[in-house]
Order: sequence, then C-alpha cells, then structure tokens
Amino acid sequence: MARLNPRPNLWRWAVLAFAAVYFLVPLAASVIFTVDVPGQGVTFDAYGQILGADGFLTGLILSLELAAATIAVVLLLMVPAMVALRLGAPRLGPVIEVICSLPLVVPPIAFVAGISTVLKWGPEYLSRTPLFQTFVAIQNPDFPVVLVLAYVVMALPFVHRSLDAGLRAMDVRTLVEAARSCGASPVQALVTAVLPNLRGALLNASFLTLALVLGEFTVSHLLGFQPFAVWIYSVGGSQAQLSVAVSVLSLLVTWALLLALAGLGGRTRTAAKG
Amino acid sequence: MNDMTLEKAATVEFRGLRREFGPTVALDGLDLDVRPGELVALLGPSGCGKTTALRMLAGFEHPDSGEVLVDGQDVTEVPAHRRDAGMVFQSYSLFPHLSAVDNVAFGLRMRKVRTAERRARAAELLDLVGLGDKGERFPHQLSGGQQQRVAVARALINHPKVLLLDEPLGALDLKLRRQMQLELKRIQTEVGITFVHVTHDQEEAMTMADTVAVMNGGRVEQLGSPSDLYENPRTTFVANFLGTSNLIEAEVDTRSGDGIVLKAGGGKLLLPEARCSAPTTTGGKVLVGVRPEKISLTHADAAGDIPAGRNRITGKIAATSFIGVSTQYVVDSAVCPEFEVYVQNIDRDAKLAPGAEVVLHWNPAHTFGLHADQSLLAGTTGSAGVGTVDDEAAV
Repeated sequence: MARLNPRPNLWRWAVLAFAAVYFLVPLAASVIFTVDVPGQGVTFDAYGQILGADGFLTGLILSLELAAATIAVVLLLMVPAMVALRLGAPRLGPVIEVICSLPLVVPPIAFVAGISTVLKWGPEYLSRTPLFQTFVAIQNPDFPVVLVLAYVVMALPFVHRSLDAGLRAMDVRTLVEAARSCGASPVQALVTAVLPNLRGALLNASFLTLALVLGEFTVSHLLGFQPFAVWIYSVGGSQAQLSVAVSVLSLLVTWALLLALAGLGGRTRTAAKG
Repeated sequence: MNDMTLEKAATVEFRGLRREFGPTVALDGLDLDVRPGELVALLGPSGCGKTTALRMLAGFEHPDSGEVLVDGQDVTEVPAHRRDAGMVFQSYSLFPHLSAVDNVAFGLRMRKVRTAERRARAAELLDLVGLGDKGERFPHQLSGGQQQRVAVARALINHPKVLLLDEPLGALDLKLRRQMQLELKRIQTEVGITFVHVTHDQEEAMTMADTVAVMNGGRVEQLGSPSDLYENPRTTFVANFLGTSNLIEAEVDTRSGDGIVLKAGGGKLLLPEARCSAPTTTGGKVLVGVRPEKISLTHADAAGDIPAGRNRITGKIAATSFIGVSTQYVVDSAVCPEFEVYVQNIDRDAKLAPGAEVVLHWNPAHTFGLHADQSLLAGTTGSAGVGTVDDEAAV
C-alpha cells in the first residue's frame, strides 16, 4: 500500500488541476475581461452599468418570484404524492418515475410550442367566458402564472429524483405508523414525522428548481416574458464587455442564492433541535 | 408511575377476524379474548397471521369481516390515531430527527401538552425503561436495545389501554434479547396494562407471556398458559412448534381405570384419559406423544431394574450429541424412527453409545394423546416454515 500511495496522490492532483483549469481559467478570464479596459487600467464600469441598467431589478425580482412559486407548487404537488406512492402503491413507482422524467426527453422548444398552441385556443367569441379570462390572467406579464406551470413540469425530474432518494433513506411506513400510534392524524404524521427527515431532499429539490428557474431562457423568451435570463440576453447582445459582466454577475447571484438557501436549511435544523 | 396502574387495563377481543391478501388467507376467522392486564403472546410461524391480527388491533389493517373490541367497545372503524393503543415495532422506528426525550414526548406533543410538562413526563418514562441519563441522545447515538427501550417509553406516554409489540426484540442479538424479555416483563408488571406481543420465538413467548395463543393458518390453534400448552398440547402443530415431541401412532386396546391402554408396535402404552384430546373407542387410532426430557434411558442389559408401571419402548441408539447440560440421544425403535431423548448429565452411562440396545421408559402421566388424523410433522421447522419474519411483513 505504502509503495502505491504516491501514484494515486499524483493522479488526484492531476485531476484537480485539470478541473481547476477547466472551470477557473474561463471564469478568471471573464472577470479580467470585464474589469480591465485596455489603456484605462482596472475599472468596474461594466458592473456599474448593469446595476443601473433598466430592468435589472424587475427581471431579477420576477425570476425570484417565479422560483419561489415554482418551488412551492412543485413541492406541494410532489411530496404528498411521493409519500402516498410509497405507502399505498409502491408498484406504481416506476410509472411515476418515467412520467416525471419525460420533461428531460421533450426539448424545451417543443414544450413551448405546445404551450403557445394551447394558449391560442381561446377564439374571440369566447372572450367573455372564464376560460378565456383564465388564459389572459395566467399570461399577465407582471407575474406570468403560465411560466410557473411550465417550470413545475420542467422541475419534475429533479424534484422526483431528490425526493425519491430522500424517501428511500428511511422507512416511511414505519415512521408514519409509529406517529399514528402515538396519536398523530395522517396529516400530522406527514408533517411531524416524515417531513423533518426529508429536509435534505427538500433542500436539494429547492436548489435544483431555483437554479433551473434562474437560468431558464427558452420558454420565457419565446412566450414573450422578461425574467432575469431573458434580460441578460437582451442587455448583453449590444455590448461585448457588458454581456460578459452580466454572465459573471448572474453566476454570483445564483451562488449567493444557493448559499442563502443552504444557510436557511442549516438554521431550521438548529431550530428544530430546541 | 402510580398514575398508570391497573385502572386503564383493558380487555381485547377478536371476533371472527378474516382478511385475505389476494389468494393468501392471512386471517381465517380469528377469535381471541385477552383479559385485562395480561401479557398475551401471539406465537406462530411466519405467515400464520399474527402480525396481521396485531395490525388490526392497532388500526393499520382493516378486516374483511369480523370485529375488534377493546374494553368492550368495537374499534374496528376507529382510525389508528384514536385507538388508545401504543405500538412498538420490530425495526427501530424512532424518529431520527428527535432526541430520545422528544421521541418519548411525541405523543404528548400530538395532544398539545405544554413543552415543559411533556418533557418532564417523558423523562419519567425514560427512567422507567432505565434510560434516564440518555434523554438528550439522538437515535443514531443509541444501541439497538436502548432504541427499543425508548420505543417502549414512547408507546406508553399517552397511557394506552393496550401496548402492542410486533416482534420488538427480533433485531437484537440473543443475549440482549434475553435481557430485554425480562425487562419488558418488568415494565408490564409495573404499568399493569394489557400487552399483546407478537413473536415467532417460542422461548420468548414462554418466558414473557401469561397466556400464549399459538397461531396457525390464520386462527388460534390453542390458547393457554405456557406450561399448559407445553404439557398438554392438543394438536401435533402445538406439540411440535412448542419444543420437541416424540409422536407414536397407536391403537386403542382396552381401558384400565382412568387410563387407556394402547397398542403400539407389539408393546403396550398407558395414557391417562384426561390427557387425550382424541376419541378413545376401542380399535381407534390415536397419536401418542411424549416430550424428550420426560424419558429415561436404560441399557438393555439393565432392563430388569426398571420399575413396573412405566411405559417402555425398546430401540437402538442411532446418534448422541453432548450439549453441556444434557446429552441428546436419537433412538431408532420399531414404533417410531428417530425417537428423541434428552438426558441430564448427572451420572453419565458410558454404555449409552451409538449402536447400544436400550429401553426407553417414562411415567405414563407424562403421555399425551392427539387426534390421529393430522400430520405428524405439522409445526416442525421444515413443514410450517419457521422462516424469516420479513416474509410475513411483506404480505
């Protein structure tokens, strides 16, 4: 063993170095490109321009709202469904898995084409019916519910995977039965016995959904809305330095949000202990 | 713990419970009465329906027909969380995110009891199970035995009318299991409520239970105290599942006083009539049983020393095995191949070696008689399948 040790170590460093080069060099190059203007030295003008640019805050806030709504809807939909599946019909598991994986197979462009076709169903003479009004309401540019619906579908594969892994790690049936024999109703059993042990899986699902919504471009762009990703595209197209600065900034924003979410998760853990 | 004594002990009655899972009949008209404050064990091989019966009492399964009564009240339609029944599971079922004391207090939290009060009461119960100093530990920091003690405390916190134990010691190693058997018995005596204990381990059932219900094929085969079941089995299943029995096919010959004389392979055996659960018309067939430890073994050369009035069988020793406290002999005889005899190692007779001709003899009062129309092998390991518990749980 001792004789073999140096070689794996060498490989470890080689892989690490390769990964560092692969990820960090482009990143560093981007940052340098945005702050170093030839002839002027280091300047943060590009970043200043973004923060002052029209639509930055509205785009970012819209994206965050969409992400929050998507996370809420997809978890409310999937958690009870997955627990019920485990308890009541474990044999349906593979069917649900395939259904939840479909969004990975259908390209977003086909998905959005389908959505726009459906949204065009309401002909003029139906304009006074609730159906038509619903179609109008979900396309309100201030808060396009249709995007939430689309993102819920697109987040299904990730949410399903993380919840499934979380549920596999515990004996859901026994925990629920133990809670019920202690006097917990079925809903109480879910909330007090199952959910706290799913914390990791729920956080994971929220992470992935947040990242998905913040970076999503195709659907929102083609349906004509302007959340953060679309705004980045529209503002970056005109000026090279600004466009790269925006990319760096969006990366930082996503990281900051993920860290905030992780921190939130850590705090609820300590709170639950008390 | 004075506040949780006999007042709450309840009767439990199963009335004609029937449950089918697809083609499998788990319960086939189960009837059982449990007296208040009693520790009753449902004992049987996997697949006999004992776990299903317990889960019906807990409210996790619904019978196809029949009813469950607790304290005289029909609870068949009452949901699990309103049943007043605590349950201890086989797998460690503690909530992993809660400390031991919070696990125990869980039932009080469901009843909206104030935090300080519920922690105080949980600490009391942890004392009862001998874990007063481990309250702040999390389940993963406790051993298997400690986790099950916490689970017992958790199940007792709401003062249930009945405590249900589903193979609670199944995952523990042998030594710890013995210790926990006594511990559970002590707790039961202390709290005084009715315990219904499911197990496939006959030794565990005999050690702990006041009453054992031997289950087979979805119904109770025989109900009684451990010693009663052992001494007076009424079916070959009970005779074989509880300990070991030697069974001989015999024919009723005559009567003498309150005994029956039976013919078995040329010899005659005496059977007290009170210990025979089969009809005893002359010429009828009866299965004669005797436990291996009731039999004495004498070398054929010394047959003259055997007192008169004892049942005798002759045979030849086929195998012996020394297991410390006793020696187990397997004797081939004309009436029964592989007759088992356990002899205490007090004065070992060197002549009792494989191949030796021997006389087996025993007090006729230790003989029992069973119906001849049942399998000799019912309840033995091979036939009824004393397999893993998981099989049954999976049904």
